[in-house]
Amino acid sequence: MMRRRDFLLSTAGAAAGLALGPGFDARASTERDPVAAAFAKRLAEDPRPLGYATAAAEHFDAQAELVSGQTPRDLLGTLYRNGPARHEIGGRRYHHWFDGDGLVQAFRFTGDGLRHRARFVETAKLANEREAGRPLVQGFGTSWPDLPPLADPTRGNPANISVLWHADRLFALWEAADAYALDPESLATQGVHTWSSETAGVPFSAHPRVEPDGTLWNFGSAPWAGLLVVYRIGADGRLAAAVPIQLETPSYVHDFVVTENHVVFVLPPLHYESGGNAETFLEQHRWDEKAPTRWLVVDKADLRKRRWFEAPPCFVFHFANAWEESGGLHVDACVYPDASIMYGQQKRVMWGEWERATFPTATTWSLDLATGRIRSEARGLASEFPSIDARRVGRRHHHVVALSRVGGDTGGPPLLDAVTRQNVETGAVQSFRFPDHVIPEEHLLVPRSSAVEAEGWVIGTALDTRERATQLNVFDAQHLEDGPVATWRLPYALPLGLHGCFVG
Amino acid sequence: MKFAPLLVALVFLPLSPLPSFGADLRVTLAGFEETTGGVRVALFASAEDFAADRPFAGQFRRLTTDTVELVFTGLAPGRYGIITFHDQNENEKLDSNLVGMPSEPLGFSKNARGRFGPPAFDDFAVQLGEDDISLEILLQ
Repeated sequence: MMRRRDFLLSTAGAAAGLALGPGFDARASTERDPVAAAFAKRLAEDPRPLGYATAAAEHFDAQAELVSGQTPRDLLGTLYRNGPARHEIGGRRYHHWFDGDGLVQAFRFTGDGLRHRARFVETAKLANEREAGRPLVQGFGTSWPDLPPLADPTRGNPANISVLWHADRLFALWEAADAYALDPESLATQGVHTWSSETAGVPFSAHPRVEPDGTLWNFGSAPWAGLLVVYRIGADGRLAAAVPIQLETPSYVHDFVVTENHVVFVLPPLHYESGGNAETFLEQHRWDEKAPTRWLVVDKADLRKRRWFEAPPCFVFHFANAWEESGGLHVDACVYPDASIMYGQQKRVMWGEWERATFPTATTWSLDLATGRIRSEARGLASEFPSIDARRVGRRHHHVVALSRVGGDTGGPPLLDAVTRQNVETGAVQSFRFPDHVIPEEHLLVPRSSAVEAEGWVIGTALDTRERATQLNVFDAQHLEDGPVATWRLPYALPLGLHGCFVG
Repeated sequence: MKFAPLLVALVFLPLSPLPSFGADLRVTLAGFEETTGGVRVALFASAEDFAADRPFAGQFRRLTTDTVELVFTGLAPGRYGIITFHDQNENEKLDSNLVGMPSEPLGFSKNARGRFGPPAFDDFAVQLGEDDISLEILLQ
């Protein structure tokens, strides 16, 4: 079926362990579509859009070079990451950042160094398109008129948003179809993972919540069917419940939260409209500024017990966490005024260009369950890709690590430029701003085994567009402003990715 | 529109009407990944019938080879659309998952595809005149 005509690059690439595959070699593309041509032209003039180029190879394997600081000897484990990394095939370039195929990476801290490995998730989509040498399915935000509409999301699953470690297994996650199981050592794809026969092909979001006891909660949004499926999976990896909830007004929903007793969805007024002539799944959604944001609060103990609340319109990709206290639910979220980022900046970057971005604001919402009143407290910090001490999932947390925008308008890409740690109660912020040519990616809070919340490390990757290399930084979680305690550099640049997890 | 109505249409397949004077619609079905079970084929004669889930004719074939050929004979001139699915477990229905997406391979005439659901009748209907026509449908 699939032909693996991988070959080694003869020069520096071979030393770095790069292996190119068909469809990944830019030289093989004889004709480029307008988006691909525009991007290539921009990149030749300006290295800063480098993070939106297709990965240079299908496999990566290299020892990272420690360029400053010292390897923390007690930091052992693996940072897994995922993100869209094949943005072009057969000279055609996707129109949206979220369409590229997922590249899963492992950064392994071995005590005396850092080893990097990366591999594309071998989805059915990737295998078929590699074989054909061209795209075969429409994307989330890309439409090509000569391709049929996507009848079934499983065929378009690029497994490109996040990774999950649960019950000693590693998964690559998209959000509109199944998880893919991966070998945690080699990162080889084991295949589609189905929790049960009736959940095969059912959306499984990229943001499951794993509670301290190992119970995993997740949801799957199928707006075309007007359904939101809630999953509960035991610490042993077995499905305990998969309950569909019918929605009157299906919305785009990317993340959710759990508390001690509830599962909480915040459904933005980005409504799905079936039928019509919309060209992509994304364009099938419409921002309804007159409609409220709807909160759906589901009782964990009885998923049939549901309550609805309303709040002013807003948009959220990511939540840090949520907890219950004094008769209320408290939700820590990164809040956008609307969903324009998905239709603007995240499409613009595919052309190698930028738009004035809107950054989300770190916000604590408090829902009074007795009155239904929702109070919103903005914490005065641009904040995205939030991370907490994972031992606090569903319980009150006090510290959030996130990416932020600290610098003003520098004329450079309007991207997140700093890693921050904020005290949720006092609002106090510590931050480290990266140099203009270094673009940070998600940073995770990795606690030491001590019982103290948020004591340990903050670990994350960044793309150095001047050196054309991906770097990994480790910070002391309590002293971000001191800068990294160690920085490693890879012998290659990787596309900017999305989410990861740390497995100690 | 969801796939769900197809469950009904393809379970209660009507008997093929007796041949009358008219053209034949020959259908070749391909794309089967295994030869277990059978294949169910429903013929719709109008958008209204499709919307009402009322097939004009239906056929079932047990699978022994990786392609199947069948004929709807003596059809009056008009527009016809075909829906077919591989009934892998022979339970006489198109199996689907928790959100209504089919979990058995299916196909439409003109190899039409809908977006997260079946295509509209206009997208898979073929015009039949006085001459016989042949179609190939790839099940996916």
